[in-house]
Amino acid sequence: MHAEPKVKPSGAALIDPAKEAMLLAALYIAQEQRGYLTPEVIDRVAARLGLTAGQVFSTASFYTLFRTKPVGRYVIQVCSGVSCYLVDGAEKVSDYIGAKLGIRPGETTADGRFTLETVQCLASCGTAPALRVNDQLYENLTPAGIDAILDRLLGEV
Amino acid sequence: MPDLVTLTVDDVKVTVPAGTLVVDAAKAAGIEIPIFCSHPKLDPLGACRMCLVEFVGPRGSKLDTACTVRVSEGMTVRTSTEQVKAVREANLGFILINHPLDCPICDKGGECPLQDQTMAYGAGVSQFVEAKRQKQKHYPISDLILLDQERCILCWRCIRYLDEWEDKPQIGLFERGGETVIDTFPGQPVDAATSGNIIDICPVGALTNRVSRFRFRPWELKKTPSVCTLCPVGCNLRLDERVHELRRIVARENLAVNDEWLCDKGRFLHQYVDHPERLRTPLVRDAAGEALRPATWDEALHRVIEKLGDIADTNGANALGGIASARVSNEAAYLFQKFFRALVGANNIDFADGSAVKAQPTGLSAIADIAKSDLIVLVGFDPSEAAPVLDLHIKRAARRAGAKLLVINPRRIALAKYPGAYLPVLPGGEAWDLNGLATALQAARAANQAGSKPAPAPTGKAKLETKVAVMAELRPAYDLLAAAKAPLFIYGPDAARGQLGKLAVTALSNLAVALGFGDRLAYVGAEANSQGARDMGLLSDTLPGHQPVTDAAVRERLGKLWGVQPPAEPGQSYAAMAAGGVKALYVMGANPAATVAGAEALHKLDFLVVQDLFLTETAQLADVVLPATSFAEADGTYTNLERRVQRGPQGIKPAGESQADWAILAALAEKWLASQTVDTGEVSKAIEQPDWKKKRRKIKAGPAPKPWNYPTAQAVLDEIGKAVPPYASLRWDALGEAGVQWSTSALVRAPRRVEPVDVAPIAAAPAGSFTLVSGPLLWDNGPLMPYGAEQVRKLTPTPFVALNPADLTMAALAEGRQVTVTSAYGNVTLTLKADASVQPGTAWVPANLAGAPAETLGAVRGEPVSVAVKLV
Ligand code: SF4
Ligand code: SF4
Ligand code: FES
Ligand code: FES
Repeated sequence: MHAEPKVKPSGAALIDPAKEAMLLAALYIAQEQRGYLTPEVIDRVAARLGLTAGQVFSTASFYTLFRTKPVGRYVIQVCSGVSCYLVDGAEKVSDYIGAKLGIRPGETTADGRFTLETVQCLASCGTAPALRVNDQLYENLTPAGIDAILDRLLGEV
Repeated sequence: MPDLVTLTVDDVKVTVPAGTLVVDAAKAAGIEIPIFCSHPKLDPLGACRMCLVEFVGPRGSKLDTACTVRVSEGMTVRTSTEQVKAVREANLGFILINHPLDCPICDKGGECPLQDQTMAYGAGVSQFVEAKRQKQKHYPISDLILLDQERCILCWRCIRYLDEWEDKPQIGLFERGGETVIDTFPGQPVDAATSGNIIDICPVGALTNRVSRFRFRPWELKKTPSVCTLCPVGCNLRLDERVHELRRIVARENLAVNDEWLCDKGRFLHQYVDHPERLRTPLVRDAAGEALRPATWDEALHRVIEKLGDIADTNGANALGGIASARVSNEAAYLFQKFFRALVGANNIDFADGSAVKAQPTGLSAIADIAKSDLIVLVGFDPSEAAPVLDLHIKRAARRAGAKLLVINPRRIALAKYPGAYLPVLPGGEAWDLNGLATALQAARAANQAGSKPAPAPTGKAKLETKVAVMAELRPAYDLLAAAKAPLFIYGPDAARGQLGKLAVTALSNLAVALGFGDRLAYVGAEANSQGARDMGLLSDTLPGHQPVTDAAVRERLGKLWGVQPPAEPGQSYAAMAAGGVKALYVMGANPAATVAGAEALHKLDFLVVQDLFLTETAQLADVVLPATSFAEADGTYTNLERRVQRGPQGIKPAGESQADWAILAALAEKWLASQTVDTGEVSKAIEQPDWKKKRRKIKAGPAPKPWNYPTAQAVLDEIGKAVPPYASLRWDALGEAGVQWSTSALVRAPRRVEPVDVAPIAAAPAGSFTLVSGPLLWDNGPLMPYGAEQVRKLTPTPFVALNPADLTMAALAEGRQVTVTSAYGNVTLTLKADASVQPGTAWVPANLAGAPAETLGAVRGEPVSVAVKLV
């Protein structure tokens, strides 16, 4: 990992000289390079920043942006947080998508195109229910809206 | 900032030091704010929200966490308003959403803060009908600790403890929201030496003790405040007993000693107390001299005094000797030496690392001084393995108070990673380096004093350096020492044994004196009551109270107390007695037959008595075996490494017929006195004698020993107060539950003078061989370890020798292979390991492994030993 300087540090955390503060950027870069955070990558980041692998893994597991397992081309992250749950989202959405794709949360389709995940709050409570596909957030979901998203993705592939 | 701040908590005005947390200020005002995550010994975090209280300000009141907000002048806090009550109810509701409520099968049930606070502050009803989340239950995070993720309330106490105190962040939070769990990192179980403390501080039953699991319900336990006797820290603990079994050990707070921590050995190694192999009756060798058979106490003690008496009559008192362990109580140590000095008439008493080590009589000035030191010098002492709670204090000083560590050790011990310097030495080579440093510092000091004269003179370090030649490898150590304003020097037995050790200690003391800190030099022994054993005079050359046997005035004083004076000539040392210097040997708690050579020497004895908990290798050779109690089964006092005399009261019924060490000695003395006739010139009264007392001993002339009359351990302690001046005021009641440090004013012995040291460097082992290095390992195979719970026993490694990886490569040896290690004293077969903390040219074999390999190779002889390492 000699890539730290490539991204311009943005955000207050990166300006902090503490090593912990570099962690998010380091993980992001590592994931860009490797696709997901393998145990080796985590060890390496930990060694570079003087943290334990456990601390790095703990941080990586907190953020929905980081993956510690190989995933499909499209990662569909359905919010299962409280707000989404209260407006009839969450399980209903993940069940609906799961039925359409023939997978359960945590699984990837056989062709490697879709991974379905449930996540804890996408910080979009005001426009719940919400889901995210890779870096794109979708809000105020309805069955028709979900169909449209899936159709578009299926068409793209 | 003013030093004191006054605030109002629920109409109570309270004044506390600035910087106090509101939760603590409220406590000072007598108001309890409920908490989960906050802990007096951990940094504030504010994770659980249980402590929300109202802060009244100019623009109304707002809720904030009392555990993170610090007091300010004029602050007004309300802790029992309707709003506060409502948020507490709501917060408990949230915490309990996914809590499994399996209290009936939870070890914490009955002493669980979550139960208690739900009772006190909860709504009483739940609003949740949804299914609870399922997570990992009874999931091991180590051999010793089980995690139940469902019960965890995510307070971070365990995470913070391992990070802030152990510097081993081995537990973390993973995922988030309702999925959040605490866990270890895959493949890395928690191995911190004091990991068990997270069980005590977990506010729920998420972390439970695998050794004690399901063996108690808290409300059924009989709880006795006691102390740990597994190392010289003397951590305060509680014995939890039920139906005559020691179910559990938990920490007990003593801010001067262990805060509220225990190490894992102290916490988890206790099943030996209830072990089925405990000796339950006395044993005597049968008529054919072959097997040991059970006997009554009367028969066994009779056999002992008869044989000891015969041998003394024929061969003189010097043919009798006693070897004890320094694990036993002060009372046992005192009566042991008194038995030999006052009744037998010999100074032949000692313990391993006893008279062979030149120890400072006064121990550590105070454990609390560690936090106030800017430099901690550790010579031949590895606290991480030998005294883990002391290790916590030292790490804390290094990380929080900026203390530097100067480690002088043949092995790069774990503490060497902290800022400071590591000075590798060969065993026995400490004196050379210490003397170099002491000489350079004395010269610098002399130059400094010259420089402080009015005439213009060189000042500052740069000038000094030209005058003081320091060997290059000593430079980092020298610089640390020269800059230290509050150093602390601690040395252990590994640097202090034998002739070379004496030189090293003198050089170290010169060093401390040269810096003006002769009173900050401490010796920490290996066994728990090393300090007490020395105070009691369990030494061949030293009387109770650290006075040499040659001191006539002290002998006279003791003579008045005992009826007879102790002999004036020093007795035989441990090594001399164990090598067969006596004809009859009395062994209390020690195991000199652990090595083959040791056992061979004992075979030559005419008579051997062993007093112990188990049938050790030594006991197997004995003519009479006397079953002794453990620390948990008898009253006794123990003196820790900072001279703190602490009570260890009986917390459980003794196993079988076993008796306290001191009580056995008292009973023995009574029989001995009855069998002796002393011609004092008076007419002795004829009294009815049982048969065995009729055989009269050779009549001795001179004063008669006073009768021994000790109904209790406390009575022995009373006499100790008369025999050992610094113990004069330390009666059982006066010690209280926190113990008392004995005052050094009754014994001013801090070195003040620089004594010349004549020392030569130690030669490295010849090419192709290695210098043997040994030292303590926490999870060794020490005397009680084989009788611990299975989870504890398996922490002891198979006996190994470790070499530096470079040496391994050079010798074309591979890790994991079986090798024969040979020295002039013996050979052993061990598993080979690579270990970068082992210095090139040395071979590390820890002390007290199964089969005593280090001891067999001659590691404790106090002289350099070279070994050859060959593939089997
Ligand atoms: S396991 Fe216990 S101490 Fe650790 S975070 Fe959970 S509740 Fe707190
Ligand atoms: S540090 Fe020593 S005294 Fe404290 S618990 Fe551990 S073994 Fe016992
Ligand atoms: S709960 Fe779904 S976005 Fe916050
Ligand atoms: S005790 Fe204050 S937030 Fe947990």
